[in-house]
Amino acid sequence: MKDWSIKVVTNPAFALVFAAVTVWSFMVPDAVGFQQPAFARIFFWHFPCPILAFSLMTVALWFSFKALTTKDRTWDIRASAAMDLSMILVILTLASGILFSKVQWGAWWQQDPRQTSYLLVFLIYAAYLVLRSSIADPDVRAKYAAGYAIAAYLPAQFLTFVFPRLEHVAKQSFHPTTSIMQGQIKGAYAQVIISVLVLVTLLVLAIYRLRVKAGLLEYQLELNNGRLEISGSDPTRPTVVRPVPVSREGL
Amino acid sequence: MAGASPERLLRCSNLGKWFGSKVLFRAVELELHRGECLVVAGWNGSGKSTFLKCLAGLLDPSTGSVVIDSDLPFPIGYSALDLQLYDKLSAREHLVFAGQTRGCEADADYWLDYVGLEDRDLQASGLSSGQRQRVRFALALQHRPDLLFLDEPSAAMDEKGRALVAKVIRDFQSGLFPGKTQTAPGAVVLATNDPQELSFATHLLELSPDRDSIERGHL
Amino acid sequence: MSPSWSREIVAVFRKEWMSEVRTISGLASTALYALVSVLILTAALFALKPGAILASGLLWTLCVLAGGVTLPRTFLAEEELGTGSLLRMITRPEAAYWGKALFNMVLMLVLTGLIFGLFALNTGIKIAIPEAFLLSAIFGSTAIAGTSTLSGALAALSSNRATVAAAISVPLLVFLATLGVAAVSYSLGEPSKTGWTAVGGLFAYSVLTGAVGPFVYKQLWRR
Repeated sequence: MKDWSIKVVTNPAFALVFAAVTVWSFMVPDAVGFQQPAFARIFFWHFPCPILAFSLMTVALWFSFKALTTKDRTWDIRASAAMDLSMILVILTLASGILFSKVQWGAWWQQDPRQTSYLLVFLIYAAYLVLRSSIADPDVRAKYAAGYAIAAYLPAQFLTFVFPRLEHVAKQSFHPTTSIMQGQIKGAYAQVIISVLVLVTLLVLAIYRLRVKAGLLEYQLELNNGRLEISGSDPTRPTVVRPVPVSREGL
Repeated sequence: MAGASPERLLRCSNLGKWFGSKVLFRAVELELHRGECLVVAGWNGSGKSTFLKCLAGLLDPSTGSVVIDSDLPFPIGYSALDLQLYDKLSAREHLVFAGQTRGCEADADYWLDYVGLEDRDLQASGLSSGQRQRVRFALALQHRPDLLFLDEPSAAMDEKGRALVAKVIRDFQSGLFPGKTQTAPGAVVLATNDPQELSFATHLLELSPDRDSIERGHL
Repeated sequence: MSPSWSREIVAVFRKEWMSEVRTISGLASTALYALVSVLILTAALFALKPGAILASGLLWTLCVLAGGVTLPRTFLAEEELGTGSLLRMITRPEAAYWGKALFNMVLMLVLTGLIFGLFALNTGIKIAIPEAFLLSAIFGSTAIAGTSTLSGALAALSSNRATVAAAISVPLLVFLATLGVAAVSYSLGEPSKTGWTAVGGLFAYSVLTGAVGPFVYKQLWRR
């Protein structure tokens, strides 16, 4: 039976809604205060990415904690799927930011503190992948990757949320500081942002669940391979193995 | 735990270990009591060392659990050829270090005497493989554990060394070391291929070469 | 005599100290690395007197690289030399972690003193708020040591241990450097309302690594 999130995103209606929201995003009035106001619309797609990346990393933190304390590989499969997707969203954030930078500020890379700190966040994720790929045993890999995900959480969130707001950093940044919460983005503009956020969240959720399902199936296959090897041995041998007292008769 | 007589020191249930699809052993049920000696036999690569590591808590098993019923803070003594010593520390410094962490450093020289090691101030890098093995025995015994795990103890030993292995097992099983207060008898788990060492066994577990464990009751 | 945490931690520290002092090459290459990097940097600056932000940025770059590359060694060496199992048999995980972290903290404090001292001598920078400078150096060193120790423990079982340790420790340390630069630049006279907050941040992160490190390491204790 299909998962509800997968059902939603594979439904043709979802694609239609997605297309409609995209069209709508081009129909709302231009934002003010930008070099290229029309192109500021990239914000609609830029905005959900770091939010979802943060959410997934937080979820991965919990799964990693469970993987570390229970030694149950299924938690690692969930943590790894969340971290991988989170990293993709970090890349999308960076890519859309770089595009915005080129159009609005005139250069692909501005050494803007926000750009730099988010690049560091990306490096933290990249190190997670490096660590995972450098440990061959999947059980050991699960534990060590979980340890790193826990250790890396705070630095990553600091670089995302705190560092760009530090006094000496904030005053050097070009990054727009307007936000929905402060009421600076309102009306149709805010509605588009929220609609895109909902749609992208659903999409990410569906991909995440697919990844986890695939991972769990792969794990099941690995376990079954072990069982097949066992059942391939002599079936007359006892299932449970116990040592037995030694008799020295005849020695 | 206590209660039953002789007192149970170790139990494992449904113990299994595999790496990927390579199964070393599975579904091992085991209880070990004071004074007993379990010999784990099997061909090279059958998983004897891995089995000992799982029992000693150095490796997580793939399935099952190991419970050690002891009140001691360090209930296990473990000696194996792959247990490397610190190259830059002497034998005595090893025992002092281990003694400090386990609360028994004053005994370092006694145990080095017991295992018959003379070059005790030489850095471990200068010791022969047999001498290193003696240091491992001293480290395994120094804190008077309840359980002693020996992986191929005679592998690097000469005749005198083999006699030492027999003495270690005998004294440990009885809980009586010369010049020391007697403690409750300990239990030994011995992984070996050496036919002579099978004679120490009170119980035998054979890990078979086709990766499935079997039991054998008679020598 | 029963084991006690303090005696166990000190024993691990002493073991690290004896092994490192006798190996010589480990400590010598660490000190040499710090010395050479400071000298290259100050030679490159030549007559230029760096401002507070540039000076603190350079100082932290040196400290982060020195710490990130050299400190994870304590755990990596155990696996490279195959002594990890012995350590597991004779200590408890928290004591092993704290003993090594303590050794790394002492080493990092010496390294930081060396780097800060040489850099100040060669560039003639003036310290405006000595107590902020001193606390930044101390808390910064302990935080770097805590992070690097944990990174070493996490990379110990990977292939290419040293490279992986550097790969995972540097991004975590760079985060620390952002706090460190804010704290040190403040102590060098850069006006800031958040200078002491940054010093406090370094302290808080030291405490945090001290709490997270032993917890994580305890879970990794068995293979």
